[in-house]
Amino acid sequence: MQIKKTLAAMTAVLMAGSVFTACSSGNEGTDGTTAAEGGATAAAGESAADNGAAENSGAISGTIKVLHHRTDRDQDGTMAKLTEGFNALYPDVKVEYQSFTNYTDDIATLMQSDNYGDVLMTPQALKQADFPNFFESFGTYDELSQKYYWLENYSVDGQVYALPTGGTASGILYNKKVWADAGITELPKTTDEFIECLKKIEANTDAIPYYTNYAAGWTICQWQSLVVGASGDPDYNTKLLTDKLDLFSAGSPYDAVYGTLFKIYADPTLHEEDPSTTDWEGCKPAFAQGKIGTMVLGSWAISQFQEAAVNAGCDVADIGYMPFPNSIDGKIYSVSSNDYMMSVNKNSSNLDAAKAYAVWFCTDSGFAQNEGEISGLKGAPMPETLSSFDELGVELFVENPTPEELIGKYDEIAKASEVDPWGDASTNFKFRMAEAAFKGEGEDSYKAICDDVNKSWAESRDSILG
Amino acid sequence: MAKNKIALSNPLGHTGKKLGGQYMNKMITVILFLLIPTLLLFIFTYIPAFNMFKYSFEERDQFGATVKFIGFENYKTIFTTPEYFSTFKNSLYYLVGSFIQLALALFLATILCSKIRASNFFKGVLFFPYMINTVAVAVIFRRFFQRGDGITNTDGTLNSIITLFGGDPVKFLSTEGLVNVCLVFVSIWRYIGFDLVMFIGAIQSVSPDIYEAAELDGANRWQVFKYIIAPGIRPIILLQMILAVKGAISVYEIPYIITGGKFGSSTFVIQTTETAFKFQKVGLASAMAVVLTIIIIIVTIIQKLAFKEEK
Repeated sequence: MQIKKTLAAMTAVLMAGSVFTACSSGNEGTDGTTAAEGGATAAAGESAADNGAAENSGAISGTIKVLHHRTDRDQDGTMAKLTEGFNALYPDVKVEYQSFTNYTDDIATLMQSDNYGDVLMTPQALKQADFPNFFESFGTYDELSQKYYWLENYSVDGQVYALPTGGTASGILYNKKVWADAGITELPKTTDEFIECLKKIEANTDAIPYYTNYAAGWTICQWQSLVVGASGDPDYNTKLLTDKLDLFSAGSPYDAVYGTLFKIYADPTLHEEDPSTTDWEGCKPAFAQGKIGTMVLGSWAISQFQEAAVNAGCDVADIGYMPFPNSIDGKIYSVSSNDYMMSVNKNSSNLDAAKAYAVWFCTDSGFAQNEGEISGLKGAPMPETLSSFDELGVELFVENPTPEELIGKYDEIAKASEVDPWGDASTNFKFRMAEAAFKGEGEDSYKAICDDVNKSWAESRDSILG
Repeated sequence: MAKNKIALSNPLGHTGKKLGGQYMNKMITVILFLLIPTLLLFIFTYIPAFNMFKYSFEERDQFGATVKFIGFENYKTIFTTPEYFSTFKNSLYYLVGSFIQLALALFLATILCSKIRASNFFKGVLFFPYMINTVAVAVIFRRFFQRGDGITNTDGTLNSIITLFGGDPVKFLSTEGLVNVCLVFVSIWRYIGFDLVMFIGAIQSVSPDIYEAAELDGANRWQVFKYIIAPGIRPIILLQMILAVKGAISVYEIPYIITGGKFGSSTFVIQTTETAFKFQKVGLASAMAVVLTIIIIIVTIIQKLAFKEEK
């Protein structure tokens, strides 16, 4: 009897203890009391931010840990080579890397504590307003936006909390040889022409006209990156909120993009046989060998497919990239947007070294150029991978900043309504459309899904924006 | 051992003290032995479960940066949105599957416990799938059910066999309805080994004398099963049935890895995960998990009561 009581008391104490420690560690993470430290190093950090290689670089020392998602670049030694370049400027800083295959989830778990590296790729799921709780500021938006693209969504109260590592354009990857073999001499200018081209590939070649890569899940989200480009309007996402536009209406950018998706997916001759068992890694050599004609992917994918072409012994020049052919008054637009951004952990014990590294990585490391990405620096030359854009006279634009009062609202509506245009949950409208198309349900069910999306979106928008 | 120790620590040997010392000793041993498992249980089960319960009354995202207490709002959302419960209809597939699995396991266990050649080999073969990691199982069966396009990939094992016999290949994993049947099949293949081992253990714990007596009385196999084995292992059957229902309601990893919940193969737990990590609604997802726990508790109680009444 007494044993039981003692045990019960002990477990109660244990439980209470652990709960309290759990709570207190949680609070530290959000409140953060490193103000003194942050203040002392802010000056040094800012001067480093001003001009990449600061004169006092020799004074910066310490060991920093960089958390990132490029496991491939860790393995092939690219990261180690980058460190050499950094150490030439800052010889006393020791850089360690840790990469994660499942970065988005792992970093979210790590960020429950204070130990999420010194420098890290900014998690996309984090709300904009929460940045100051986790990251150190790089400086003011007014100053840094002169130099870098895409800072709008990573600034809070005029302070910038992340710098761009690079960016991508939206568009369509195609195999030039397959398209030429099919007898296509001119790239399509409208979505109807695009589908006609795919039909020509089906009729005249053995290649699969369009490869959905459906099983991977995230691949369908690449279509979402076409939407703003298809609108041709740098303010489209803001107008969605201010003008209370429906996502889907006849001729709206969403309708242009997903209507095309629906038509392709609904025609079994235009895509692969079984969308449930597609293979992302396997499609790269198949594409290079001309077994696949077309895929919707961001321009970040170009370098990966070029690598695959080299490995498969195919001609790298066959890998082409074109914009989504939704011309507005005869002109085709594409939008460029940021890849992962880079931030500095505000709890870092080597804040100045961490900041110096992040600034150097995003400014002078040449990482974006090597990856064939668009540089985050304003005025830097376009990567070669996008040369076709110049030929077609494509206007590549960057989205305008969201007005102060609407910051974070788009994401809030997206999550609350569960419309989540960028999401890949199994209930997402993109999957519902794709599966209705695969089943051969026809335009009516496409319209029904559109109406449903419009309704959920409008409800959440009105309740959030009032 | 213990006695020696007591004798040493109580050289005077007063009876009262002796008893107290023995008591203390025993208690310390018990506490020390229980300390580590209890600690692990608390760290990995009770504290997370307690937190989940707490989160279910909050509005919070994955990072826990801005937390707001909202009372029963999450529960209200769940019970006023029918979509959240629609995935339970997929659980019916798994429920039917799990009863087929139990019957099959019981049948095989009965056979394997009679005197047949190489029964240990067959036990090993049937138990083996249970030891394979679910991710590996998923990869194997994705390949097994694959419908190739002949350009980037070829037909999987099942479709190859079908074509060999002159049939038309089937898109097993992209046909609504059929995909659930396939996933249930994988689930049976994967988990039958566990049922089998439980049943074999239970059957072997019935005294061999009874089997011998039945044999002498001229009972046939079916009679032995009906009058000796079935009543003898009743508690295990009940336990396995509860586990089967629990498994069917909370099925997760096999559909999540093979299809990602696509083509109408989503389940309630997949939806819970997506609510938490794709829509960043950790509070709502916690509430869904609490609801699932309560449903399982209710089902278990009903099952127990039903079985009691039969007695």
